[in-house]
Amino acid sequence: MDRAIQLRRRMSRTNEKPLAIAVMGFQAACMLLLAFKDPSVDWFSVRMAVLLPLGTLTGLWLTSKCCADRCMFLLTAFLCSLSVILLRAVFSTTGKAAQQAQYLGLSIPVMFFGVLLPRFFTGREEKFIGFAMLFGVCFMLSPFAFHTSSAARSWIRVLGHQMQPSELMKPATVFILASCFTQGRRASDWGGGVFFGALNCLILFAQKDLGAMLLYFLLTAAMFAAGTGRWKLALGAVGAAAGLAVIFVVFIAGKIDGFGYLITRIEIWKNPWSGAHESSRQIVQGLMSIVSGGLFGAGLGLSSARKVAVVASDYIFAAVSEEFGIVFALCVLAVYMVLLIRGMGAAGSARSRFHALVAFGACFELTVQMLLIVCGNLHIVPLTGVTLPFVSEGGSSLMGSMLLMGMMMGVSAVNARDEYDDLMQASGGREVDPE
Amino acid sequence: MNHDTYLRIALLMRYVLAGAGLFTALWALHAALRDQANARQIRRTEAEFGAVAVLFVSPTEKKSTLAKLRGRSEEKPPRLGRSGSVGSGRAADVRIKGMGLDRRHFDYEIDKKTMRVFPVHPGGVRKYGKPGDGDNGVLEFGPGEKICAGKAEMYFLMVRRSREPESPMNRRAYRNKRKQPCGKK
Repeated sequence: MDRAIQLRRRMSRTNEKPLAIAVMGFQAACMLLLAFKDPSVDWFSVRMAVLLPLGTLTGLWLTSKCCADRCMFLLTAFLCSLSVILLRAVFSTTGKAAQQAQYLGLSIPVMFFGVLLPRFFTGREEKFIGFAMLFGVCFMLSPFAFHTSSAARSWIRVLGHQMQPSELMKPATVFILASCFTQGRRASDWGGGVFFGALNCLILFAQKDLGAMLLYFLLTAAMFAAGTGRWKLALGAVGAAAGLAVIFVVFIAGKIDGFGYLITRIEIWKNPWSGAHESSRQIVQGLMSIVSGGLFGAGLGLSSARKVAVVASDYIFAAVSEEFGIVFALCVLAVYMVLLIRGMGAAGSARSRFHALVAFGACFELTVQMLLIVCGNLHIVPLTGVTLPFVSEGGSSLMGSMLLMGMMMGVSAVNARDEYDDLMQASGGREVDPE
Repeated sequence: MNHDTYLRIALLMRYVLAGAGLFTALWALHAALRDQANARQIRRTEAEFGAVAVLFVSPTEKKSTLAKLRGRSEEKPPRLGRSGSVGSGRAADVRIKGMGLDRRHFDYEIDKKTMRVFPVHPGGVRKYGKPGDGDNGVLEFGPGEKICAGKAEMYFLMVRRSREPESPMNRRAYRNKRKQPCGKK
């Protein structure tokens, strides 16, 4: 397959060496700087200054072996390392950063498992669809039986770690919907996918996890439109759902126990400054944190982002802005945009509708999630409580996002192999010399 | 480290880290746009060098025209890329006029020696011209089998694959692209 990699790189891949050097240099520089933040040397940061670039290098080698998109991997590594760097810089202890580093170490094999999935499921997706749907629904329902004390009732505890089934189910949902929406035009072909998507939304509504519900709903609608070509029906469903949401918030939410926070959250969003020291403290602190970073930031480890409530997950973008500055925060958004372009490119180049829809779904999910939380942080939309993919603290969110990214990379690997097969067949089975 | 020293280094490093972030984003954006352009070119020439089949359309009406490749006037069986769409509209990869086909009647993808057809138009696609309103599910065709859509009868034929694009312009562009490693001038 080495030959395939060479051919692919020559034909359609950019030289990634400068990007790899920049990413690894960034990781090492940040962690080394943080190692000397306190009077005594922080050996965790020193270890991370070695392990993060080493992990990136190993992942790059594995990506090459899988014939997947190296640029996508490098950008993902950049975002993931940003998470560890920020958690170390913002908090005075290494606990959160160390835990995130452990999750990152676990999620890299998960990502490469995701790379293999599109190839494994080629032509076999229909065999697994029934089992996958059943397992998916049971997994989504599990918080009702094993929920922890969280208010959203969407967490379960496994082996001493809290996890959110809805985060881990995102990649499986993309696979299931892609399989359902490529079966055909008949309602019996795509009905199963729509039913599965609607059931997930209902379960998440019952768990009061409305941010995740919004994500699942938009994912189902977008994949339905892309897979079946029924854009008008999908847009109609989105419009109807938006109307129902408005009716629910205005007339019903206040009367149902547990949904009153929705009205409070919207009130806070409309005028955060009236309760700057009480109910809307988080929004106000977040906005002040973003602004106080200025163009180039307060300096790594010198910000006061820790004062923002839930900064590690909900307001991590504010921490990025304050620690690194608005210029860097815009660069992070540009990196997400590049991942979107590359993901859509992989979907457009895919030769099977199933693979195209898998790449589209994964890409759409990550992008919408990023937009929801960044716009929430910037006070453009009410805060939904979803995480910033790859950067926010949390194991289940990181694993789900890495698996989605792995699936996108897997589709790009299948595309590369298809191109290689074409060249091999065109040359009568001989190796084709690109020179 | 002394706090003042750390402060000085951290404030200086702000610009270095912002520069690293800017470089990463700009390089990645440049690479993405370049790869997109390359992928577009590969897709554009796919029907020429990666062609795995032709779709021969039998005229069932006098005034009907044979299938035409988009933007070409000569009548010849179109060569198919690995995947695409067939219909009467300009957006269709293979355009067949005047035979009762919708703008985008069906999508197809070819894997090895099988053509999978995904009907888009409610009229659907029929296999071997069997009676009925048409099948809206996914249909699979082997080489030499007949696909009926609207009034058109199409035969899916396997042909050789060419090593390079056939048209001189695309061949020249393809050769240049292969010789030039991406990211270097």
